[in-house]
Amino acid sequence: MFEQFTHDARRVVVGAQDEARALGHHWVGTEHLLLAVLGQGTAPGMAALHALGINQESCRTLVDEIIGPGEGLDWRDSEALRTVGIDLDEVRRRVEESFGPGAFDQPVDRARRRRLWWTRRRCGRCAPSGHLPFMPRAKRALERSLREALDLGDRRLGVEHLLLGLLDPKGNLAVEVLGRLGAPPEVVRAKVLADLGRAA
Amino acid sequence: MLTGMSEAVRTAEAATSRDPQVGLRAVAALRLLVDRLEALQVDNARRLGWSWEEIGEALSVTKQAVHRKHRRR
Repeated sequence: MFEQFTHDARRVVVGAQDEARALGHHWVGTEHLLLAVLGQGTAPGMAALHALGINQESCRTLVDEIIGPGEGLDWRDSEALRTVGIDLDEVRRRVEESFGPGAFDQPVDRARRRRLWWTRRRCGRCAPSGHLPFMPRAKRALERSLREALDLGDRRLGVEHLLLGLLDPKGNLAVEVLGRLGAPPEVVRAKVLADLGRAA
Repeated sequence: MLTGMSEAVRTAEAATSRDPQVGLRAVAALRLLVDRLEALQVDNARRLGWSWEEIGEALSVTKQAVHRKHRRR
């Protein structure tokens, strides 16, 4: 499936992890996928979002507000450490050099202690992968975007399909963020399809 | 957030280290960073078969203290 992604779409999937880390989150959700999509300024479908007044900054602020600070070190800590001359990205880079990708951003013990036994086992399985785990709704959004690409008859999965996939009628955090910024999913969908020259 | 971020940068640039807001925030972040690195290193040492006593000695704390803090992991 991943081979059919365009270069930009791959960057979104990887970028979603960076967005999660910057917010101190130990998971990748639809909110991080949305932020990463918005980072692809010139990709197809982006003009629709910009026309609706949606941008990465406003979405990020809102995600930060809705979820609050994560368990990990976030951009606030990163800025605070900079004032005493510590570059958190460099610390992360060195830790990952020794302990493997994602090692620095694994959940800390406090989070693990609170977790119940059945989830602990599940997380034990996903931890060694070195990547932040994708939450069920984020996985669902990726599946939906593949379906969007197929339905539109496109051979490759692009950023525009990822965006359409995020607009889940069953709801998710990306949809909530867009809605709060005055862009309900059906409006975004219609605008994106219109911009792509397709019928809604 | 970008507004928040640039505000934070401006605060850091404008204020000297004598501004308690900046200084204390840095200390709090340092504490988080230390916790993160300690968890990583203790995990690694345990995986390599180090005893709690050896780990405690390296961290300059008693083996009881390090065990109490990290045994659950």
